[in-house]
Amino acid sequence: MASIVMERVYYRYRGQAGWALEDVSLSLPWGRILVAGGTGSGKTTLLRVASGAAARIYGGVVRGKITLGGKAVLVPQNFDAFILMPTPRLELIYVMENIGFSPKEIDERLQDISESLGISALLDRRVATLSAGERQRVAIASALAMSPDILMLDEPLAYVDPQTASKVLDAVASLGVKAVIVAEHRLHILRRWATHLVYMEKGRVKYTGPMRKAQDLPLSMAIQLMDPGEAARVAEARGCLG
Amino acid sequence: MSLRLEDVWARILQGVSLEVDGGVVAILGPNGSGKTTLLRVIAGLLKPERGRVEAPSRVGASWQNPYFSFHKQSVTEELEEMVGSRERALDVLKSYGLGELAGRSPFTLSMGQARLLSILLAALWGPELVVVDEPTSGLGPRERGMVSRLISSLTSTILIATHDLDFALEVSDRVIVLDKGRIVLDNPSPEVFYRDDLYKLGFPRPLAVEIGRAAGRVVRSVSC
Amino acid sequence: MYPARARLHPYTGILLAAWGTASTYTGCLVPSLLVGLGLLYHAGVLRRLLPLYAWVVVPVTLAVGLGGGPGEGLRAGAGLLALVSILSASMLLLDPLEAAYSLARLGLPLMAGLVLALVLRSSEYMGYAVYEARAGLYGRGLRGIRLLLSLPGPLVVHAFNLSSMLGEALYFKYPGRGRSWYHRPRPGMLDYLVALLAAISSIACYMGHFSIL
Repeated sequence: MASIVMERVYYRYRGQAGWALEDVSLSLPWGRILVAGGTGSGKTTLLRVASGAAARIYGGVVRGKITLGGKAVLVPQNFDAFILMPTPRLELIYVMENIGFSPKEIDERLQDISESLGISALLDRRVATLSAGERQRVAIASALAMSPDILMLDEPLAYVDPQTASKVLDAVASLGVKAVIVAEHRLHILRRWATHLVYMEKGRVKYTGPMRKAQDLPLSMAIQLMDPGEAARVAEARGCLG
Repeated sequence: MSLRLEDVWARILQGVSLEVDGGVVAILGPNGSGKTTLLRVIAGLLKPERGRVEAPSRVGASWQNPYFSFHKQSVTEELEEMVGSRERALDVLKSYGLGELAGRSPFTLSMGQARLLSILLAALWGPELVVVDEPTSGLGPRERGMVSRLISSLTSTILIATHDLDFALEVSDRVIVLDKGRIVLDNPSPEVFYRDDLYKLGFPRPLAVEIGRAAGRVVRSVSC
Repeated sequence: MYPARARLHPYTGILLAAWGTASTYTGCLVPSLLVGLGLLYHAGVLRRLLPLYAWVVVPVTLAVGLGGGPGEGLRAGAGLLALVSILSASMLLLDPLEAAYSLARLGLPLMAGLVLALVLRSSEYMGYAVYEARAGLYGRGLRGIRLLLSLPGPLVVHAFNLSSMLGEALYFKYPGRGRSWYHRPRPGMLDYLVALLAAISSIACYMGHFSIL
């Protein structure tokens, strides 16, 4: 049983000539998945297409078959625009109302989610007065309130320090999400967190499989997955240490 | 150029004193430690509630969202405003390998290209000091390399606020660590990255440090 | 809840806005001025809003005053102040989700009810954009009038991008049929008080008191 299966998927944004995703076939397990690759590699597009948001919002052409093993929610890199309500409490209540939770369930989940993400004290502050790290946690809380099976985070480390991000990722795991998919290019920061790796280049998937067995990666990526001793030997031999 | 802060209190900052007279200074700290607030004070955008600030009158700045630094139709026009003539603007673009962006609207650039342009705009109007807030957020490995080369090529004093230790190790001459609005560490780079006290705040070790420790020498960057 | 200290029933809010507008236009300024400013003070937002109001009210007072004499100017200024304060009070003292519920009960589409919440959030987000754009342009040496003239560029682009980002958020958060309602608004003391004040002052106005005209 897989969380996401894509078979020969192509996607092109409206008004663009080239494919942003090209011949993507993969089967992602449940668990912690890292999607890596440089800018323009198609990481963000992969998440948009897999969650179903791409064609609905950006138009364009989707080809191929996508099967989701459960409900997927994507928190975009610009998490500010993901928060629709003026305060965190209203935001969480609003999304839970949309799903049809009863007031009692809303109260319980509101407490659980805000405690796990450390935003209990912020619930009645105006979102505009919160720091970037706090707003990101509110955005993730809002995604979690929708009780997704698959949570996708696009570059969650871009505006947040690694220690805050790893606390958030731990909290997410404790809240019953079955698959967490993170797009990020700095492999070495998440190499112990992730169990599965997808590596992309120019809209194509170059590797998909267990983190530990990753192969055929460019050296700049592969070196981040090695243990330091081996990495030092390889890097020294290739003369890439400055 | 001289920058002096004496017992500065502003928003989250709690009595920051600091002297900088050149080089590339990295300001590190977790989210909410006051990095951006400190840069805002230095750039003259935020008046401290208490304390003294002696900063140059011309301070260039590139903030977290680079697209807010743009207001013209094309990349060339943006640079032309800074350097005076179209020819010089095109020369600058070419010398940083950005020649093909000349006619593009700045608002359609990728995050990395926009970051490079906004740092150039901050640095090219003749400021004595340039502050750069989170220069690597949202950038891929290739673009990080370009930003680090750009920063090393500038002659003015540079202050960088970042939580990206890999990047700070690569470009900085000095490291200042902020935590909860106070300076908790101020040391020359790269030595400080090979000491344990830098990692008390929970930052993971940069790749270059892990490799450097295994190789038994000081490594500042890994580019394969 | 939001706002923290005070809250009006959505229907009170709608009726208050209508009453305030009507009584301002008929020249019965003092009651709507007092109720509007009083409510904003009670909600604890008056001090933040006053400078904003000054930007609107002072130029109008001066312009009308120069044309038609000081009395005319003051009347125009006071009328405008009454209008903006009563309208912002009737909007800011609503809980956006309660407002959505009440409007849905009146038969409007769900999205229409949520517009108030989206407007509140987007306007705060635009406020942030203004600050960031000012900082960005200041950082490349633009000052004074040149900075002001350059501001619209980045802001228009930001507003445009914001709409596609909102689209992405709404794809996951669009209000559907299976929606539940967490709180159903009930009228409280403040609603009765506002209704009472409006009724009394309307009668007083009718009998000729309070009117500036």
